[in-house]
Amino acid sequence: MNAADPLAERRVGTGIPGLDRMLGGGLVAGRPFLVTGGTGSGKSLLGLQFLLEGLRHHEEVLLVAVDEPPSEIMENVRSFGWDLSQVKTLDANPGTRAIKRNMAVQEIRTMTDLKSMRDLSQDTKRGSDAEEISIQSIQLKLRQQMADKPFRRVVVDSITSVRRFTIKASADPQAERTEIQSLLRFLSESGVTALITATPSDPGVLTPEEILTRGEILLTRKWVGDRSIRQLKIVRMRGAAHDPERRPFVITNQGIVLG
Amino acid sequence: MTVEHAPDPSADGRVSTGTPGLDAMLEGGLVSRRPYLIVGPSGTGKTTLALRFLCEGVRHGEHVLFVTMEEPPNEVRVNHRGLGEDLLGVDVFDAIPDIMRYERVPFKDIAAVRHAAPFAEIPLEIRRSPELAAVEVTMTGLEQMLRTEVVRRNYSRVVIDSLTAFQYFCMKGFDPVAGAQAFLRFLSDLKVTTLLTVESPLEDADTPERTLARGEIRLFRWELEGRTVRAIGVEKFRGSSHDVRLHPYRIGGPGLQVNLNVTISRDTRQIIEEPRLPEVAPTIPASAGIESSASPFDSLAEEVRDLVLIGAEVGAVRTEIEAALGAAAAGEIDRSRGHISRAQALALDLSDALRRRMEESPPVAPGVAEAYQRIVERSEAARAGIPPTRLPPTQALQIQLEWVLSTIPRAPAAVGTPMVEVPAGSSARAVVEGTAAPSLAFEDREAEVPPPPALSAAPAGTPHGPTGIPSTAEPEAPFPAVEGKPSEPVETLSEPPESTTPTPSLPTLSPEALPQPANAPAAAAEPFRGTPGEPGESGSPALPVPLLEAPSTNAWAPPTERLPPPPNEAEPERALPPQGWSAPTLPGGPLPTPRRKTRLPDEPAPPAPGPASRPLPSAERDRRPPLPFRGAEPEPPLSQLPARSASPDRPRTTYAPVPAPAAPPPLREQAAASRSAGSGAVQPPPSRDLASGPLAVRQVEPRKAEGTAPRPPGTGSPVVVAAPPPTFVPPLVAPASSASTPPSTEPASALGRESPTGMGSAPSAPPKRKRRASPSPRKKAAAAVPTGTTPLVPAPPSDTAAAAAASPRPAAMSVGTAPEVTTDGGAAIAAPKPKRRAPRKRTAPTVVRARAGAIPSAEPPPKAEAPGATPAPSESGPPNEEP
Repeated sequence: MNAADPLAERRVGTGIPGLDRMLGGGLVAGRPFLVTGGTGSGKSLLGLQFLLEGLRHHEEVLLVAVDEPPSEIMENVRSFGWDLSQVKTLDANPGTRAIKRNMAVQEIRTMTDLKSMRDLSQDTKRGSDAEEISIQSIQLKLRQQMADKPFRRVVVDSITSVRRFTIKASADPQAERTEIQSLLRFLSESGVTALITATPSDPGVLTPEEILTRGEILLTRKWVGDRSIRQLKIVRMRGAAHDPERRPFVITNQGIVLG
Repeated sequence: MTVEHAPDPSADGRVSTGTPGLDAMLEGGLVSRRPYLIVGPSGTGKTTLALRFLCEGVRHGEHVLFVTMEEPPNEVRVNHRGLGEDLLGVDVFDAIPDIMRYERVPFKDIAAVRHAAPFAEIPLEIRRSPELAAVEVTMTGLEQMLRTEVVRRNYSRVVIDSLTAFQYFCMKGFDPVAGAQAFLRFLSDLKVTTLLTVESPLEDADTPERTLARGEIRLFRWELEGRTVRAIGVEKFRGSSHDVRLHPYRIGGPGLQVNLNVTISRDTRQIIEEPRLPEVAPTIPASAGIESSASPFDSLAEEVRDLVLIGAEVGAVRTEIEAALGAAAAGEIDRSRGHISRAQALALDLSDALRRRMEESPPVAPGVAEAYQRIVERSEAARAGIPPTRLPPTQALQIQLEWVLSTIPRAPAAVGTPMVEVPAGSSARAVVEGTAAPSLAFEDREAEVPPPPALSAAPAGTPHGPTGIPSTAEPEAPFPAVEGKPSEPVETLSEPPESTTPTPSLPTLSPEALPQPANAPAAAAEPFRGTPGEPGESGSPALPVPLLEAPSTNAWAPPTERLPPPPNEAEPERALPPQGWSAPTLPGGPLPTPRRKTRLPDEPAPPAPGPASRPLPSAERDRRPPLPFRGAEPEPPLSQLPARSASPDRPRTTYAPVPAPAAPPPLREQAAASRSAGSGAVQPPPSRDLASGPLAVRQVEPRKAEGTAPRPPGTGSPVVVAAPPPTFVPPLVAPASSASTPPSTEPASALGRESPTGMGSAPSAPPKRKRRASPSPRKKAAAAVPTGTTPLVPAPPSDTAAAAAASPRPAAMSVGTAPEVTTDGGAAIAAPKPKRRAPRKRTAPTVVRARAGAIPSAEPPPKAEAPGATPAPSESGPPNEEP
């Protein structure tokens, strides 16, 4: 908190001033956080703003894009006028082959490299040529990348998709939990401030990322007549005084703007 | 809060939680050396609460340990620096698994690699996973670590944060629940006051672990009117009374600030302003030196465990608990509450009876002697069956009930268990009831439904509503049939045709019919009798008819008529047990045989009868009144009776019979119908009888199954009903007898007795005798007659003939088939034992299946009538199977 406190954690801006205020200064650096919300609630946008904020501070940032191929993300944010060219993207979209590589995006292909990594892994479960994305492969890839350029901010969009695409992992809940635990631990140990997006789990189901992330931001959208009302709530935030109430926000050409 | 808060000096052995407000809610603090849970969704302050608990220990110079499994120690230290210097004195053990390398690296057990160290020595940077040796965190490793560390450092307080993470990441190869259970047991043996945090995704969500710990502190977080509200409550606290209300709190300063002046409603979640209410609501009436348990389940489980140790027949208790579970599964909390109360009462009765019996020659065997000692102590204390005034959310309730069930041996030890001593005393009643328990369950339902009223008018059907849609209701009826006697279902089918016209009404009726069965004996009988019988036969759409016939027909009426005859003879005796439920009673008849068999062993106990009988009478008296009311009263009595719960249960059963008396006179047919309805419920028992004496036990098992897969349909009770089928038979007899007996106040008993003992026996006291007497007869009958199946099948025909209702008779045919159906359905559940089916399937699933399946082919075989009947589906079901 105050500079005099040796234990005070460093805070990282989210790129959304209103949210930073709610968080009491921003996210605590070096920890993983969860952003949950339904489709179209603004999770990805929040993640991108978080990364762009990092770019403004000349940090190395990485987007692990599972939901959407990088090219589409580029298209989507065009209206905001954002420059994503410096955002490294781990194109983890399973249908990646069919997508034309957009040179504006520095893609980190997972496939080729991962294959070699897999060979090294102690228990290779996948076929050699299947272009699968898995929690394990993401971790291995990140680890490789971290060696030369340590990222400060990482967004995984979304963990729900990773889980969905990783059939083998979902077949074994224990293994999946362990993999997610390992990934989050890896991010923590790497000093990365990470945002993991997820669609809300079924009520009553507790996902490992819910347990392991240090905070959770919930985005909701409801319709009143023909108007959509978007709200943001900090569900939990370990070790940080925060605004626990639901706050409305809008998406403008500046991205997410919190009142 | 004030850090200085001093625990109540009078509270010896209490451990302050470091959160003054919580200590007040706990009446001084936690009882030391036990494991407790802090349950709540993330972000509610579980870790904060736990750390405060440790810091409190540090303040007192104790050695305390924090085992972190979610949050890295360095982050814990930073996040909770607000706790001040005390935190630095807390030893922390980093039980977070390393990064998976996905490479071949040697694994080391965490116990060998890491050690606890005070927070003061925890670096601010996160620990780095070793490159070469991954540390594996396993349950055994942690237990090993805890065992050595606790000895080494003499820890007096330990926190595991969190048990959820422990289950998620450290239990490879273990079942999470079983693993947690084992771990909690381990902690219990460790003799250290332990707090475990548990993450619950929803505020009301339940976790299996909560049943395992000695206490549970629950943190809630709701969004009310756009505002986030946090509340804390003590959900369970063994060995002490406590504040059962929810109080709001906020996280700030050094920990949780609980506002004891404000209470938050558990249901509406609104703030309740209760200026002057006592802060602490005594959970239990002052009992002589005996620890009161906050949870009715705890005391119940304890009692039952001891009873089991002594070798008592706890099948009845189990049956009640299963019924409660079924009700809970169906979302019928009130009914569940009734069953729980009855279970408690049964357990208390058993204890009392055992105590009386064993006073002369106390057991010597180790374990048994101790259990006996505990029972004596408890019974000397002013025990009160503590009626669960507030039950946890259904899901939690189910889990807790399952937990209690898990403490009761399924094995029909009863049969072999001679210990039946129970019979001797009042316990005998309990036993009987136990067998009858299923029927009781019915009663409850009935009670809920208000059968009597229902009988009179279709509205009753609506009441059934509980079941939900008419169709739903039907399922229930089917169940009985399925469970008990397939034949019944068939009958139903046949009837439907007749009632075809009333189809719409039928659904309603059918539901009512069910209730009626229970009530039928008593109230229903009088009014309808005339009509019932007629309607059934004529198939006239008249309201009465529909109720009786249609409803009953679908499931019950037909069966009753047909079945009754055969059962009558055998069942009479049983009538007593079922008594509570008129129908059940009848069913009981068939069941009785088995029961009796079981009882027989018990019978030896008779010596005790005197005492037992005495208690019973009183109980019966009490209960009798309730029975008449059945619908509403049953439960109330339970709750009211709690203290006397034991007696109440029995009484109820007995009473049920009483009401029946009135009915009997009216008309045999009606009675039969009612019985049939009841029998529907009872049927299962017959099957059980057939299968074996220890019906109760078996039934239990089924129920359990049901519990797990509890179907939404409130039909849970229906399942119970299934048991009644056997009863049906008895009812037939009973009706006849009833005609003669009507005068007698005891309907059920009368009915049952008619065949067996005859009216001779007195209502209240006699029952026991009758039972005893009947048992042997029944046994004989059972043995000879074919208790279950054979008799049933034959019976239906005769009944049908008697009934003269063509459709019904077809039903009889169907009955034969019906069983099959049930079996099939049951097979799914448990092919081996029909019993199970009945109980579990009560939920209706089985029924539904049967119906569904039956509909197609079933009708054809039965007769044209079947098609006609609206109920066709259910009816048809049975027929199909028959083919």
